[in-house]
Amino acid sequence: MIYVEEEILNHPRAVQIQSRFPDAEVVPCSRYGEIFNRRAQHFRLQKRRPSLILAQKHRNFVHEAPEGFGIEGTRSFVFSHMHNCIYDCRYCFLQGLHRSAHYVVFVNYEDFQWALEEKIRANEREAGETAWFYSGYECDSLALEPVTRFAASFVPFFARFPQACLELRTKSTQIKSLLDMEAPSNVVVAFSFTPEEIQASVEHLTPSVDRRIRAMERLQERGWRLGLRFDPLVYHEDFRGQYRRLYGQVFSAVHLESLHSVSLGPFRLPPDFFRTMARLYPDDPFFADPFDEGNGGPAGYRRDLEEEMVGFCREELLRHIPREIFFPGLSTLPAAAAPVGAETS
Amino acid sequence: MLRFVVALPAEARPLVDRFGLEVASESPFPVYRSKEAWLIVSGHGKAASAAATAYLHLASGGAPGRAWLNVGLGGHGQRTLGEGVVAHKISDAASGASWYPQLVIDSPAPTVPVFTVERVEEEYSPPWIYESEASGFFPTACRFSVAELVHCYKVVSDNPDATLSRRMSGAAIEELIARNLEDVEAFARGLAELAREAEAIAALAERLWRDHPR
Repeated sequence: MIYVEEEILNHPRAVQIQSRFPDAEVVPCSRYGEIFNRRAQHFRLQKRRPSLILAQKHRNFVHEAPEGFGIEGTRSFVFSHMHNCIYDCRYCFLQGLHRSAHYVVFVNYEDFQWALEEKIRANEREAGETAWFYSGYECDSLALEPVTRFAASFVPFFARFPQACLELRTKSTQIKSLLDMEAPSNVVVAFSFTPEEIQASVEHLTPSVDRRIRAMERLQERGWRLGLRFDPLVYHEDFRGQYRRLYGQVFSAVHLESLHSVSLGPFRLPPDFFRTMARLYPDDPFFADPFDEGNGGPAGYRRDLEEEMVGFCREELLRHIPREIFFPGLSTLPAAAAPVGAETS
Repeated sequence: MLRFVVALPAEARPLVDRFGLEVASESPFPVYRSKEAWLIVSGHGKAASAAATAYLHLASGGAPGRAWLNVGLGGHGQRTLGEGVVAHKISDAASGASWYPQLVIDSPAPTVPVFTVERVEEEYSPPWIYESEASGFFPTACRFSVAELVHCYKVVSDNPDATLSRRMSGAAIEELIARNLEDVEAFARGLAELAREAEAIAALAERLWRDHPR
């Protein structure tokens, strides 16, 4: 089933996306908010068979990143051409953010790009420093690339603005459109990782650690700047062994010269998101981990455990990389409600 | 786990037989029940359907998260008489409001938009199902459940070659519903299974929260 806003039924990008699914029933709607995030929807049931919703975004294209997110000393912005993700990572905050599991794709990329250009130029005038734009906040930047052609449109756009940088954050191996173009120096393709045992049990539907590493190798051969995001750190009684092995795997394949940045981040969520997620998946072993609901602060692992994990992983990482490319804050997830909410009508 | 809402006694009869339902009450609405299912006969129109849906929710114990299925007849400009369809969109002619049942299990029949009208429609344009109850039933049932568990199954009873200007007998209505019973039953049981799954998740979450408050 593909829901399409009536206004964009003939939008070239909407038509092109629909053509990828010739057998899908197309259901016109007035605004995507008629379907997405309505009351009386069950995220977990819907995740069994999510639909694609093609919509048009009208406002709030680009947001300031949450406090603490991004590279220290730079201005950071987030934008989302899509709500929700085709993967099913049990720790993902989208499960707590949205009532719907459907994928909303905003097809008016040109309007996003006008807004981005405005922000880039304003930032240049006001701050005179590089502005960073993060696209993988409410979705995986590349997972649906064969359908959305998001990177194929936005990477060439950013290539025109050397005073701005784009981070595509992904767990995906959908890199064909990147391999088909020259690698701009101001675009970083950042891959998220957890150890392969965690990936297999918690990051449902995602490519394996090996396949992600192979995708990184192919990109580095073509001169792309890469990022590594060990985010969130997921606990296991053998987390030391698991993360040590993961770092060994990754750094035996990814060269330091290709690396723009490396970060790690603890698992932290707004407490109400966490409660929603735990109620959706009470039978999932992930939620049996030693969590602390926050008491006013973010929910996450017990603080002593979190410190132990972050400390160990940081130390272990710094055996592989120079401190200059280590940016812990890059991985900070929202401790309050996410800034890019659904634009419902 | 199953709640059926139909408009007419003749629509009810095949379902009553198939699910082994027995009379539970006769007023203000005829209600039937078995261990696994309840059925109410609402009468004609969206207001009656909404009222009957709310009544059945309470009469059947008021538990949230049940599977709800509206089974009924409708006209269509292109489909053949007796064909069964499932609603993927319900629009109310009077208010212009629309609702979207969320299909997360296989539909036993083609899915179509449904247009709830207050008078008999014989133009059938655009090619939607034209009927009189869905826009009363669906949003009301969603107050007591979730959109993944609330659906409308319609059987084509009239089209441009056989309009409702001819009066349908009770036997003809029964025959149209009976012809679709296999699909209706499979769909209803699939929804009931889904409802059981959702209920088990909610019960486990409740128990864990009670026993291990964080």
